[in-house]
Amino acid sequence: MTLYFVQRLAAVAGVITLMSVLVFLATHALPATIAEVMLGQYATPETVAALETKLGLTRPLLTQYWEWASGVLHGDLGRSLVMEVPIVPVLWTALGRSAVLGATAMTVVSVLGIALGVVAAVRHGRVIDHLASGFTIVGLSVPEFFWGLLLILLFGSYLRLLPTSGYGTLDKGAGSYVAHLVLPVATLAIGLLAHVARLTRSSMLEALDTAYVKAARARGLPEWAVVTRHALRNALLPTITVLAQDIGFLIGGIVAVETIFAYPGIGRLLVYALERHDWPLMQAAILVLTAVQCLANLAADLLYALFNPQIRYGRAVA
Amino acid sequence: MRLPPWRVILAGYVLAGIVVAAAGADWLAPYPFDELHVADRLHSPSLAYLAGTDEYGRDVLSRTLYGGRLSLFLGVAATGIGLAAGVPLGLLAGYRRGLLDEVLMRALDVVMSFPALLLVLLIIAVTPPGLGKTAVAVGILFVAPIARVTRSVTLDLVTREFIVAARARGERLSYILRRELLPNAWPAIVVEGSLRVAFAILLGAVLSFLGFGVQPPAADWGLMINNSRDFVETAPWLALAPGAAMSLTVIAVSLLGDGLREYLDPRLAYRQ
Amino acid sequence: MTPLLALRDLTVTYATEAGRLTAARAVSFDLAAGEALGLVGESGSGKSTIAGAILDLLGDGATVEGDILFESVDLSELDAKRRRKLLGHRIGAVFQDPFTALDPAMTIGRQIAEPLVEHLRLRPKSAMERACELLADMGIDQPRRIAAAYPHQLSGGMRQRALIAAAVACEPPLLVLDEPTTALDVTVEAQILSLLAELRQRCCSSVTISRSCANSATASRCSTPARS
Repeated sequence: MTLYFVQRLAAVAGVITLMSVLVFLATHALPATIAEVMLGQYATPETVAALETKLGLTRPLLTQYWEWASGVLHGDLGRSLVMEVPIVPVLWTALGRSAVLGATAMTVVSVLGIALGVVAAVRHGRVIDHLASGFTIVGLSVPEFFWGLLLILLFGSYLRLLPTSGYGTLDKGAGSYVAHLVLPVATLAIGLLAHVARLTRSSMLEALDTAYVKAARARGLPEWAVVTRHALRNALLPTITVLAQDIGFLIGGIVAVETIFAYPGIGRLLVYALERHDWPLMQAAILVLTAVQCLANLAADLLYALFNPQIRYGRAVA
Repeated sequence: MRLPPWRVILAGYVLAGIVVAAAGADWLAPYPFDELHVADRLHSPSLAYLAGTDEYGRDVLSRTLYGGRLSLFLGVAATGIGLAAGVPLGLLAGYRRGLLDEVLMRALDVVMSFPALLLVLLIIAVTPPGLGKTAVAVGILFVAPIARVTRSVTLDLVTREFIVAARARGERLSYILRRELLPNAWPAIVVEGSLRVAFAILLGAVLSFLGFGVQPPAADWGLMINNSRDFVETAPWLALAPGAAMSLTVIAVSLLGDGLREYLDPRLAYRQ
Repeated sequence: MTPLLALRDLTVTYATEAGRLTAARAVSFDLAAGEALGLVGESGSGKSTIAGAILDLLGDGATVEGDILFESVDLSELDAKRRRKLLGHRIGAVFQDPFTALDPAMTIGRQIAEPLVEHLRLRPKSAMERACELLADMGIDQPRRIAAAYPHQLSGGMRQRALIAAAVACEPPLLVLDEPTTALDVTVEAQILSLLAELRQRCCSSVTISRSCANSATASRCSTPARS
């Protein structure tokens, strides 16, 4: 088990490093583009050359990368070109806010999604199963930003129940904080819910079809015990692995949702950086998000190894 | 062969309808997509403008019809690129195994551990945006999952007798890949491909929504929905037509893909 | 003496896309207390279906006609709840493939203890104790170690012993065995067969389904269901 963990950790480090190289290359391989873009209408060959020298863009790529990378390893992600402040504090606050959004959405989705999937599987072929499948297809197909807009229309404009943008800081009261979270979390959750429910449903259907479930029934165990203690426990295993894929889905969703609801998280920061060609900020944001996804994948792998007795207790006993 | 369930047939018809509407936009659309009717700006849906007009006085319905072209093109082009590169890679890796396979699997693992959106944003953000670039970027992203699926199917097939027989006959590699493996692998590939088309349309929409895909004044669904944000309270119809069109298209493609999966290979039906 | 188990004209049909399929046609037999009956036939002769009908494992697609009388109660007439109470408590089942018939995510001991808790209302701790005792009865050397293990850590023979332990845990008067040794190696098969013979002496009457009479070993009778 520990060997497995160490291997995976090494893989994560490798991926993050690779991403840092890719990000760096993407922005720096064409230094002319950066300086030109930054100068916009003031770009003349002279101003571009001057800016490049000033920003150190004419130095060898390897030197530039090394400087940036060692900075990162020391916890310095550079300075934002546009906002002219160190990146780390800004990024950290934004990450925290996105984390609240993501974690809340994930929690809601896990509980509801698994429940929905189990119900659909147990009542396979009946009305509720078809309803669940229908909801799943719709939930997965309609893009998040459209759901967001629909929710804004419904709760913001017509019902005037909830705030549709921004962030309620805690000093304005817990009520405001929560209220600002509701719509973004709901929008994020819809797509995820569909995914988790569908996944749980198909795993459960497989599990309910196995010989050990039949054997458990033959021993006279009540159906609820068969479903929860035997089928569900085994069905959750494949669900965990694919939930890891969902982190990528979640990150993409966070970017769109934060844009729609003007929620000041890391997604919105990234879009801001991309729009304004603030490449240090952009590099930092992408790096951090990649690290988050990798760590989430790692956590999912570990959870899977923990809950799958065939991996956890490998050696034969008799 | 069993008849596909009615949902799939319906989805097929809906999709066909959408494709026809998009392709025939030149004839079906009441107005050109960029024609301004300044006097009728932000007009709610009426007989003259079935889906209303936007802030420049352009007809929303026409723009929605034209928008279909961009989204469908993106979906098909990106998936095409993914298939063109991913299928041969997957076939080769699954058949030959060895070093090529190991390297490919590591590379795929790495690519698939990045958030999809970030990868595409990265490719696009550093160069001027446009439809072609978006299609290529998304296509590159798709090579990984397509190669992976192709490889699994190939691994499955490689042990079957007809492959062993072909090898025993001394057939060349390209022959085995093209004439023996591919014809038997295509059901799984088609299913994955159709799901990729749906994903491409969504991804393209998100990109345009964020401003990194197609640029104005082109009529693109994501772009239209983005524009509509400013007018959410005053002119909600701006978002409804493109949103509904996109949702319908993606639902139809997804249903078709799901149905194909169940129909072509019931064994795959329980897997994601 | 009323028979322990009596089947009268048991007919099982399935509704398939290709029409109605008859899996078992008018099967009848009696099993007295203390008897061991072997049901023998080739694959497809419907013998597994008979076990499935007794154990209520056939699923919604099957139509069961005829009577299944256990201790003079017609099983097919019982509601699900009462039938469930009999299963595991008064009727034990041993299945063919010991690997797939055991939950891979639960320890052996717990799986044996489950019916004890459910039917005999034992406390979990006492149930685990009893499970270890049962494993020892099955000829297992280190019952505690095996009880704490997971199915994938044990060999085929061990798993089948564990399954049998779970089946006889509540000391049921009737054991239904569906090809208990088909998935095992020949050497292991012999051990399991002698274990089953021992059990028959000690506690249960049994209906054993298998491919040949030799497999039913020491069955007092062997019969072949009519082919469908």
